[in-house]
Amino acid sequence: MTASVDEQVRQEVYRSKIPALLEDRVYTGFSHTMTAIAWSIATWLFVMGSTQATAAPLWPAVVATLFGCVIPLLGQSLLGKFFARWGIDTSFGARATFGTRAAKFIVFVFGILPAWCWISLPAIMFGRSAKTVLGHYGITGWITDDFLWGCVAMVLGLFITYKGPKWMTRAFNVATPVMLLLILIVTIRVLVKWPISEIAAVRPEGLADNPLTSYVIAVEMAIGLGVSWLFQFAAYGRICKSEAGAFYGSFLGWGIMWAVLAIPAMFVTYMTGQSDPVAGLAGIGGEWMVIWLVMLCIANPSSLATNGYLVALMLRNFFPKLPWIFAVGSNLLVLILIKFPVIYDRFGRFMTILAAVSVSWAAVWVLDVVLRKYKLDLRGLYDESSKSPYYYYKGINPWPIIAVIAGTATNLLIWTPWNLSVRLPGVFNVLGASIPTAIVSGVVYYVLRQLFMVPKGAGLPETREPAAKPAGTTMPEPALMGADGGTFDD
Amino acid sequence: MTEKKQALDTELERRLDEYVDIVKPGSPDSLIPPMTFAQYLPAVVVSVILTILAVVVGFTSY
Repeated sequence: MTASVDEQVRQEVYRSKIPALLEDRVYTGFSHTMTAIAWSIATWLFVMGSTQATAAPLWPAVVATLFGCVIPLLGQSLLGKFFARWGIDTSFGARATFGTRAAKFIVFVFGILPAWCWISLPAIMFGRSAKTVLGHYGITGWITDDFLWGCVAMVLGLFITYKGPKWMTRAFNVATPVMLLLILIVTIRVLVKWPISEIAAVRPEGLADNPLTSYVIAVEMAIGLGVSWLFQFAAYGRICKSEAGAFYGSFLGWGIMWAVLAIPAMFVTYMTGQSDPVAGLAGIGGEWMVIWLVMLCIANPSSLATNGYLVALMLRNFFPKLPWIFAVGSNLLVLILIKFPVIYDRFGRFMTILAAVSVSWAAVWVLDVVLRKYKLDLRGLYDESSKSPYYYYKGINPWPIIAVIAGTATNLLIWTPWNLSVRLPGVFNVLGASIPTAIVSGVVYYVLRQLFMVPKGAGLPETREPAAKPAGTTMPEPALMGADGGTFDD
Repeated sequence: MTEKKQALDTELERRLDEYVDIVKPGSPDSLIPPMTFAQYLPAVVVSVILTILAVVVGFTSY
């Protein structure tokens, strides 16, 4: 092997299906958290804060956001630990639960497509923010075109994506603290202008006639955000140096910090009625918009980069011959959603629909990983033939899919997330829709698993006798892996 | 290109073997440090507090 090929192979660890070994791990707990926060800080976070502020007064909105963002992360961060242990990507890790073929479909439809929707948001807000600021200084003409600035954000973000995680680690270890400092400065200025008691006294119109229903809708939207991370734990978790680093990087960066950093946007929305913090900040003086814009100049491309990386990685695993630059460039499809911002303009609905769809997948997948005690037959994951233990029925494991259908049906029985119409207010006002959905999905999957998978050991090679050593390999032990016996995990 | 593809295939095989070698059935060893029970506690405590808060706010504010 020549040196250049050797280097190319090393690069491929971050761009393909090759499992990451210890020497490839670039993320400590700190750097993983910084990258996760960089991912969080962008349009979506501020739009989320503004949307929550329309649903409930300040303190209930803060609690709803914290609860909805953090609780789903408690379970899902276990996936971060799972991927850290095995060094594999989502598109392979999902095979153990859903089957070698079904995983491809599920990851594409519920992982990549929503990720593209998400990517459009920072680019749109970057464009609109630039337009607002340029307009504030009296600049007109083509240079103020928000689509143009959205394209600029895409190019900046995808350049970082192209450079890969090693580059991101170094960039975000510096950029994230800078962004946090800028947000802190603007937040202090906002609170000097509008005392917290004044902000807390504002009573928004709400999203439903019943204020309690509106509060629960705020919880549902936050849960929608919380479960939207489901297919994203592998991209950075797989290259973490410890399981705890993978777990807490996600839990802190995507859960707690997301909710906390959404609060300043709530302040601005309560006092100005503006959903765009940049426009809202005009109320406290134009120079503060500049600080905010500087922060957004860093934040939005950062979020584009982190999200774009996971899409490129998953696509590359579907199409191994796809050059990396084209995998990264596929994110440019998002330009359609920037030109026609249907997701941005209906963010609240996007969140509630996302919750309805994703909660069941999250419940089933996390439960499955915990029940299998984080064990895997790694070779089986990479085997696409019918001999793979994860082949199930023609590459599809029907039992988690049935559980997901049952859970989603429960969600739709309780309410219709696309128009926020509640069918069972007695249930919704007490439990919401996502919690019953998760419970039904989990219970149905557990029962089906015990009835149909466990007795045959289907998809559970760790419960069977060790597989025979494949001929012609140097595998020193049977293909049973993953136990960390005697620990909490087991 | 062919050389690179062969190198990648070889590398994948080597790594699959290495995982098997490191993470043996029933062994407490892991490729990277496993999480301990105590390490879960902060996340669990925070989550319990937030759940209580969400319920209390829901019942007392409306």
